Amino acid sequence: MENLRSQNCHQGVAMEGVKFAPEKANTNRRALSDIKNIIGGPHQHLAVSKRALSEKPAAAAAANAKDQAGFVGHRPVTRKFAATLATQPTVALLDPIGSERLKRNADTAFHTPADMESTKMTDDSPLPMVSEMDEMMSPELKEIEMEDIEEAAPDIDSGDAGNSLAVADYVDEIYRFYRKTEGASCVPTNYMSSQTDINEKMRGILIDWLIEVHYKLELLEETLFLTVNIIDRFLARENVVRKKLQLAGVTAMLLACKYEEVSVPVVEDLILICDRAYTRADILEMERRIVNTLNFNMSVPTPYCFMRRFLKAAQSEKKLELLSFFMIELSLVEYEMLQFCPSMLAAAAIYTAQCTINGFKSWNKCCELHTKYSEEHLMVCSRMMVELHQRAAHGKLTGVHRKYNTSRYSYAAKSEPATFLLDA
Amino acid sequence: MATIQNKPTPTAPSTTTGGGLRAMDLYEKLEKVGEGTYGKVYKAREKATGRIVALKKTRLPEDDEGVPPTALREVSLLRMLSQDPHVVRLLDLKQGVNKEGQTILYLVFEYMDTDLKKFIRGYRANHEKIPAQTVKILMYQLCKGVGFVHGRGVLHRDLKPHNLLMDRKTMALKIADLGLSRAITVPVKKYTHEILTLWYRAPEVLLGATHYSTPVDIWSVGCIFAELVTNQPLFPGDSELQQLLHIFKLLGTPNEEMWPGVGKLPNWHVYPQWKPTKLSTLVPGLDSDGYDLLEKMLAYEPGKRVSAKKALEHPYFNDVNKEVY
Repeated sequence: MENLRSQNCHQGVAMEGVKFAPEKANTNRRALSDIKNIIGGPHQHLAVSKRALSEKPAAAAAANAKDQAGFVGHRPVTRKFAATLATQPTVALLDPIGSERLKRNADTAFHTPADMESTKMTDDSPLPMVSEMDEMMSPELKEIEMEDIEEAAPDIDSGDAGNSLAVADYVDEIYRFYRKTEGASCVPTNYMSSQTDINEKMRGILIDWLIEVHYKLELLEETLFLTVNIIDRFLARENVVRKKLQLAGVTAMLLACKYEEVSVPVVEDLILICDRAYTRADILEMERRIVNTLNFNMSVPTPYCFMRRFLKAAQSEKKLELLSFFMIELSLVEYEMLQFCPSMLAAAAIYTAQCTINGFKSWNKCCELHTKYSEEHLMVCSRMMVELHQRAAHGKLTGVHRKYNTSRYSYAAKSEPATFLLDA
Repeated sequence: MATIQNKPTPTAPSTTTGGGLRAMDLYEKLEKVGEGTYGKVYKAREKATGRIVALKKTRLPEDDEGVPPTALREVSLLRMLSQDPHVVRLLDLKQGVNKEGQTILYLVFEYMDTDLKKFIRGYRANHEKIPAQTVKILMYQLCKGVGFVHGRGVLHRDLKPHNLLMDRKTMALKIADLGLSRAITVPVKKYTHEILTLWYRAPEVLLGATHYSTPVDIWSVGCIFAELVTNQPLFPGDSELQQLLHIFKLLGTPNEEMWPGVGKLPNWHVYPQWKPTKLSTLVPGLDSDGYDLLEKMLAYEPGKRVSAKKALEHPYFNDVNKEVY
């Protein structure tokens, strides 16, 4: 069944009438232009509403309308703006919020063959599958192992014996595997220095925009984390020209959707999201490039995998969960945070959120034993998160702040940063 | 019985795609051996080494939606799981273009000479029962493979005899066709309920549950167990309703007492009330340990269904040489 999105995006991400194709193979999916007569029908939500349960329906509706007005997406890249990117080394990838739509010029309406070129980077020889798996099974993890902690972690799964959704029989094994293999999903922290036409700022702008697209499409949380992981692993191995950076980003999201989602946005909708800056052929060609470069490897532990487990160890309530996700999404945008492995990012986000809520350092033995990180181990990462929190509402990249400054996310962004951690 | 040979192939398989030689320049198709989730499967010979392989072919039409999610998941998950001796090995990945200019993806697998469906059919045709020890060895390997897959956070979602490859000589059994598989998050989220071949589909899925987990695979394992013993599918329904009625007729109509929350599932209606039939009547030929394990695999309440990991410790498998399998 097709799920239609008919929400007006207020000159944000162009997604009126976005459709999703169910998980089944061989589903006939109509092009967006064929369903104009249905647009404007009832808004069907795929995702579970993340609004606070206490909200009254009427108040919630009013708040939601206010949110939609307040949460204005960045403009998609227009062709003229994409052309200006080619000549200006540090210009922003996307229009600032509320800017006038740039008129398209005929001479910039199509990408030239030169745009399509991309030079493969030197260390990009494909690994044989077996040796790649061996490498994945014994990576040099970036985490600091805790030699001093030897006691067994408290059992946080005892209440789940009859709950098949908690996978109690396998949960420890699954997370051992994630810890063992998370190194394979990390990228060199200096990979951007090998890129000739893009930089860290452009990556940040792209991810900030994709977070808004993800929000508007109401995709699963794990889809966002996998999208960013795909982008970084791809950019670490392939040179991409700036005109194609947004294409790479939106295609990475398509691949993440195909891997994670029950209903996948159709290619035509991604074309609309990018304001028709790219064609179907562009997206499918980029998809081929990405899967070939990454050898079809989408099964990687992301910070999201660890967040769920560590939040359980922290016996989190909704407030802590939302604030933790706010912290970690701020980290997704920040190139410097790539120095930390997924499990550390997850643990630090929860630690920072706990400190923010409590107003003092807060990390109990249960958290320490389940995350395998002590407060000391987390401090560098946590301080960086506090700094990100401090400047979240300012500057050009405010997408995460605006997302978490809505009723749907219980205004988590309004919390005061835990600045005392900076002095610690 | 011969020892299973699960040695890795001497040459490390590459995963290169596109460019270079076309897949058909590297492999010689010998015969079509079946259909996968999204394409034909061929027996083929690798020209350079003479090694016999299985080629699974899928088209990626330009005018469509690109790489099918099934193909993306299958390849990605196989890359993670294919190191286990009880999961079929993905040896290589080739991408080429056919005469019509369509992109073709070839998955190159180790070749297995039969599957469990053909194996059972052979015994049925000869009016013979599969020896009890063979059933046990196959079930042990199946539980081991499923336990490994689940321990990596993956649901197979389409376990059936046809998707379990075998080596007739060694009795090695390997899980294949991960086209409907998916990695799960813990706790498990909402997924599609249009999964699993009808006969092996768990009752919670038939009743419309969108939140389901590893027990859906264990139900399938239980159905396969019974089929190995009797040479007949346990619940051969021809529609979702008929499938449910088949199950209820044999195992008894579930109620809130035996399966708390069953009445709240989307497809729950008032069904005819049947009393459960004894498993020894339904599946003659097992010992008491076998019936106990089968009963645990076919428990209605998903949370009460035995896990593959726990099944391996069941007394039924006490006399299996665990070092060999």
